[in-house]
Amino acid sequence: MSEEHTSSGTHLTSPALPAHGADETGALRPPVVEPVIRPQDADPKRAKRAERIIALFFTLSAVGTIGFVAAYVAYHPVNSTSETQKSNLWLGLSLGLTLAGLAAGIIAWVRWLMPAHETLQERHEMASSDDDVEAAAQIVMTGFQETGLPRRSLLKRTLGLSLGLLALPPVVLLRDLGPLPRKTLRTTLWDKDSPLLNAETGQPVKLGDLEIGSFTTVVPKPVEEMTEADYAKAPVLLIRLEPGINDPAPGRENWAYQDHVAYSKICTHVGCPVGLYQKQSHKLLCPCHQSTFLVPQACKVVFGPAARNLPQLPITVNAKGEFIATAGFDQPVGPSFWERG
Amino acid sequence: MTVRDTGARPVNAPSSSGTPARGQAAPRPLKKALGEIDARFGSAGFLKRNLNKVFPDHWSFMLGEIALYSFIVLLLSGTFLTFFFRPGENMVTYHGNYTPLQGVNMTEAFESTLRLSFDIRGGLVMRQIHHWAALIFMAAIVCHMCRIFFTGAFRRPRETNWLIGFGLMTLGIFEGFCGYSLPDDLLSGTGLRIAYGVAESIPIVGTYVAQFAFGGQFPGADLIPRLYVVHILLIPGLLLGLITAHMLIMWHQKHTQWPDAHRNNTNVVGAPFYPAFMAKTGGFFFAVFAVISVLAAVVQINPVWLYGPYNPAQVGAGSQPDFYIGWLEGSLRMMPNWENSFLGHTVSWNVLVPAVLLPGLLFTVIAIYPLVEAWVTKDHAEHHVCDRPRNKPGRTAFGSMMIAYFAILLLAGGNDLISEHFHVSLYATTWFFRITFIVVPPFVFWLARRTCLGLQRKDLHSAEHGFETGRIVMLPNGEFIEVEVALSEDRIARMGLPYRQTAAPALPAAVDDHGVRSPAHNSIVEKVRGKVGAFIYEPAVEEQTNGHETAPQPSLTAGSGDGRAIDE
Repeated sequence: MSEEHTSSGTHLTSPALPAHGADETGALRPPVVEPVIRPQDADPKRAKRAERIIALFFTLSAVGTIGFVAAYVAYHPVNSTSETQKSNLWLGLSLGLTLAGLAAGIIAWVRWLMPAHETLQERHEMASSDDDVEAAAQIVMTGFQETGLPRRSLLKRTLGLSLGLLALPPVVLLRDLGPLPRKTLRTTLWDKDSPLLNAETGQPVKLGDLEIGSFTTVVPKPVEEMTEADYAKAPVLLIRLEPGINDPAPGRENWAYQDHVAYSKICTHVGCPVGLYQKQSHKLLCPCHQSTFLVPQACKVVFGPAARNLPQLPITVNAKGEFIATAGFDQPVGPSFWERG
Repeated sequence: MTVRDTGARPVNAPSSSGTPARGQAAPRPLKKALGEIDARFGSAGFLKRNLNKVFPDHWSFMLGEIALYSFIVLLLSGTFLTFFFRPGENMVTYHGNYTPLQGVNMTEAFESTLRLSFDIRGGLVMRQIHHWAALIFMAAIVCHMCRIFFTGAFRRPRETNWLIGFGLMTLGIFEGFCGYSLPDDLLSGTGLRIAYGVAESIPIVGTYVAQFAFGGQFPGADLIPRLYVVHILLIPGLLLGLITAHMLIMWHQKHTQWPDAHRNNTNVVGAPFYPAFMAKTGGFFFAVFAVISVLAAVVQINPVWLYGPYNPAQVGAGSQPDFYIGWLEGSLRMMPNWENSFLGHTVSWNVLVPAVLLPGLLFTVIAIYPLVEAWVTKDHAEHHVCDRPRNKPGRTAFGSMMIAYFAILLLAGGNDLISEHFHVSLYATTWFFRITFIVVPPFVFWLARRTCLGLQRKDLHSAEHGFETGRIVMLPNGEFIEVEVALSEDRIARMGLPYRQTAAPALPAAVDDHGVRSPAHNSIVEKVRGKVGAFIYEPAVEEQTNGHETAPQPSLTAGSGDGRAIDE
């Protein structure tokens, strides 16, 4: 890793400077190619002034650190976000002062007081000599011969088998990272007679609870009684449309109940909740990627990257006047997947 | 405060500049200490070589340092956060200082994030420092990569370090995504929901990938603890190892430098590592940390308490990921809704293309670009002098085009905010970005190449004729001329004219001088190489028509050899 050679590709301006042959001739430092003389190099008064400014920066840094400790002691966040905000502000600013003081001081010190000369070092090609490359290759080959592997094929094959199989345990061990998908993505908790419970309160939604043009998120069980995975597939939007505008798809004529329709809230694109309902245009908009579904027409996609309609949940009202599902979903909810069909 | 003496007049360094002609005698304790170390490690030779290592100075070489130092800030602040954060999925009820969420059920992960922010003194500022440092880390990596790309600093012998840097960027994106998903808030939970949907779109293995990664159906029982160990151990370990390799290789190969009167391919000119460079770079660490601290103090970042705990039935409007993921979001948003079903299987092109195939393609191009350029231009020489972007129009145009692709994707990720702020239809903005994505990057390619060629012509002109002063003088014979002042040698050297792009080598002749048919001439691979070279790397040449000779002096075109005028 010898780094300095004497062949110089550039003209050194000053023989008076420690320029030539950084190591062979015993010079300690890399040679200077471009001497830079600043006013403070010649004038001790200026140098002293620079030193004082740098010292001021370091002092400011010390002040910042004291401020940091003071801010830590001063602000106790107790039941108040304003105390937290003050603590955050003053801790951050004082730490900033500490660090900025150090940074300014050190950089000014380098730029004002340390030598500013450009110094030079030779590069040499990364590539080694052909002889060295040849020798290295021969060593590798000779060593390989010494192992006996080139001629002992039994050794080679069994070692290969053994090492090859060694890849299996880590792969096998990863098997229990998760369950096999099986049919889990195809099913939800929704089934015949599932109640439509308000997702916030857990109470059944009754006919008349929703005003015309409004909607609510419903689930088949109280949120606390569902697993996270079941809950993530469960949300359904119950929407009350203006009378007469619902245009049911063929075969779904009795899936709505008195202008109330229910659709999965999980977007068929990548699964965000379709959270925005535009009352005037009767469109559901997914805020993640702006897939837009037209509610009165079976929630068909009218814009955006989603490819499929939101799945519809067939609903009716029971004797107590509460909404219930007349069946589960007829298709998987949420994003598409390979096995979906 | 620096006055540069650029004249060639020999100057004696004054003693106050601290450059002794001979060594300064070291005091006994220092000699003893170094001697003791050397007796055990033989370190004197190592120190002699490395303390004198010369580092060239330029603001653009600082970008990598910003990335390095923000990584150190990430390690420091992240360690503090691990003392308080609990990566748990169990539900708990919140009873902390943040009153709006009192009594709300949430996961341990979200609860401990709130406790960390509101009950632990300095916790919030550390969280904000950590998040800001992550954003600056990724931004600095991107800028640093652009610097390396546009100056050709990835060329031999530095191809390996380009690949390591590419790996660091990719790992950084994953690391950031895992990190901001940890608090289990509504925004990051939505991001995970999208990630699950993206995994599901992969043909054949998608559902397996998703369920194995998340530990079951979304949201998955094991996800937060797994993300935690990936975020605080696995990826940081890889980053640390790769950064070490990155730095050691850079150290060993020595830094690239910009051309000037002294700098060339066989030397390196700058400040010695010890003490000037070492001190300056140390000071720079504090500067980076200071900027991050002040940002953390005054600019709120990722206020998870405002988003609330994750709930799969809820979503916030205007959800935006951090910028280094945002381009993927834009890609998903602008993709048309294509999906195919056949033989009982479904392929969601609407997710697979924008979130898996396109990023895979773009990142592969970034990773292998140095190999492709070397193959097309057949340039396998060592390069240590930075290219000025204008001197390599083909590469600069290509890089600008890639930036245009990512920029449009990123902007499309904010199409809802754009439509809201500028009162345009959401659908119109989406269509705008769809068309822009197809049309604009090729235009950027053309524009960048033209600009480079124009700038080259300007350089060649001023190198030969000098600087146009704008001063008009009437000669005694009545002729008006503009006074031109010759540029200094150093100024011309800085233009890097000998390093200008030359045409990629053409196909070998069908039959060589000895009448032997060339196998390469009919090789399809060679033909492709020739076509790509002609398209990207060969500037179109056209005779000058204005009678203004711009052909450079032969001495200025040592690298290009043909000395012909460049125009398009």
